[in-house]
Amino acid sequence: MAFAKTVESTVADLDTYIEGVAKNIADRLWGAKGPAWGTKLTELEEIAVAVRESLSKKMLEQAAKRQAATSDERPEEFRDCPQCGGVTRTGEPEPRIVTTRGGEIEWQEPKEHCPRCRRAFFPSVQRIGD
Amino acid sequence: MGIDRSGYSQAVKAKIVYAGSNNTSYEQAEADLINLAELKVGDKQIRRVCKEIGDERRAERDAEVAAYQAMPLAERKAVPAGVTAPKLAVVGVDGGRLQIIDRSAKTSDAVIEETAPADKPPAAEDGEEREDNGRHWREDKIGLLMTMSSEVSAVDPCPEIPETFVNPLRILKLARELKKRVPAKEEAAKAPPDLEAEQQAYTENATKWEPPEVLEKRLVATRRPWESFGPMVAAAAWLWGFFGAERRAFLGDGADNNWTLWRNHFSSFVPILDFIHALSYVFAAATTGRPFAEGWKIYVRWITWVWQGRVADVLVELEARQSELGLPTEDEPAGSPRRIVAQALGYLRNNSERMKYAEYRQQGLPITTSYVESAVKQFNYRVKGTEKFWDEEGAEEMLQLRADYLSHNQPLAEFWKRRESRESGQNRYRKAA
Repeated sequence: MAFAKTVESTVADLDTYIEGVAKNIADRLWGAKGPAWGTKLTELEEIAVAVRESLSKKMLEQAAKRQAATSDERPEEFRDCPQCGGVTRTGEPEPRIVTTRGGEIEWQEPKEHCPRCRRAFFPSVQRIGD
Repeated sequence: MGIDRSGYSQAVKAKIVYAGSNNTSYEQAEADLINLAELKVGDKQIRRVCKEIGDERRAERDAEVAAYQAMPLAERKAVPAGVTAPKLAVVGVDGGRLQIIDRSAKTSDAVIEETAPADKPPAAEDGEEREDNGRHWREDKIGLLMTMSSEVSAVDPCPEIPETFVNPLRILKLARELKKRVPAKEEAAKAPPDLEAEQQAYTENATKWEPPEVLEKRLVATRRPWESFGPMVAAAAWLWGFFGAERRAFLGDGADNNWTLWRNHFSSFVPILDFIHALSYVFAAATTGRPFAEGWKIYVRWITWVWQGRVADVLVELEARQSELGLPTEDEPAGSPRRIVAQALGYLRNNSERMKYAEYRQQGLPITTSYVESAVKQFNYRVKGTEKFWDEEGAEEMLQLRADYLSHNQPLAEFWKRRESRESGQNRYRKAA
């Protein structure tokens, strides 16, 4: 699968950095000597998974927020109404909450309004294949 | 980002639909999602998501069927560009059972399934008993398409009937199972036989015969009438290049609907009546009105002939038996020997052209519908239950999702990509009822 390979290589490129982050978190949580003797693997696993979720959530939120912040710079194909292709008016961003595999993420989503269709749309979606 | 206006990412939605379609209930799906995927989604929400996606998939299927039906006949019987026709293409159809309830007058919420403790059917809103009188049970139609692998032999590779079909204990057990089933007219709703045991039975035989091996399967399922079901199966077969296959077979039990569908859409396929159904009629006719030991000998002779494709020989003896007993009267009781023999005669006469089993084995074709019945069981797992009630829309959507998940080509994988690409960023509005 081409998609999986891309993901794999993306992570491989970050591997050294992720290792550093993991060491840092381990230092903060358990210190240089690691978790206390008698600590169950289940407890460690619980924390590691919670950290993973928190990291995923923050990453996804960063991605969504950063993209939303560049709303004015978005390409032409993301400016027109997806229904009639007409010119749209920019509205006030709206809060958006989406449940993802990395947890629930929140950001302010840019909003456009098409006066002709009288419908709002959110350009943070793709229109490939239309 | 290719996300819709719901509160779920596409990947989460895919997990919700998987859980909702592959568990016995939405409640169980909720439990699985929290325990296995650490996703907290309520059963009602799972139901809504499954409904939404099932409806989208149903619309795609209907569009494919409409496109197929709009093609000229010659094109419909050809192989689509870019598709390689399989060597052996097999189509089988059968029916399952599910409960349909019409609540349209009571609620705008289109769904659907409820669960209740197994020992206590839910009370109907109108105060009537739902299950006991069986008035909600309806048929769903299942189409199984398989590419198979087998060898063509010079002669019948297994002329000797496998021991299992002349084993009194096994046949008595089978007869009891068949007796428990619904009447012959509704045979599509029967319980499936044990596929593995049946496969083993063939290979246990002194003369080894390997039944065809399934390479890949795809499924079609609907609650719609048989007239609509036929084009659905045909469209799926066309997409897979079945009409260009070197060897083609169509499997079914004796139900008229199966063979009408075959005539209308698959007449170039070799029609094959399920051997087990033929066996049940032969066994009943051979043993009725006689001491078992005497009847058993006759059964062995007749079923051996059926196995060898000598149905005409069985018909001669059955006709003699009918003369001996006399014809059934109009008010003849269902279990009387006269009626049982008459039913067997009718069944074998009607299906004799689809009972050339020796020829089918020589051609490397399957001779039982156990593959289809096994598929029906997999649908029933989700949709059938005394505590499960569906409305027509909800049933259709769930049947489509089940068909997608049970198909080896996993059509949902491509669907999710298409869906992500076509997200417009606008709210979706449900069509008016």
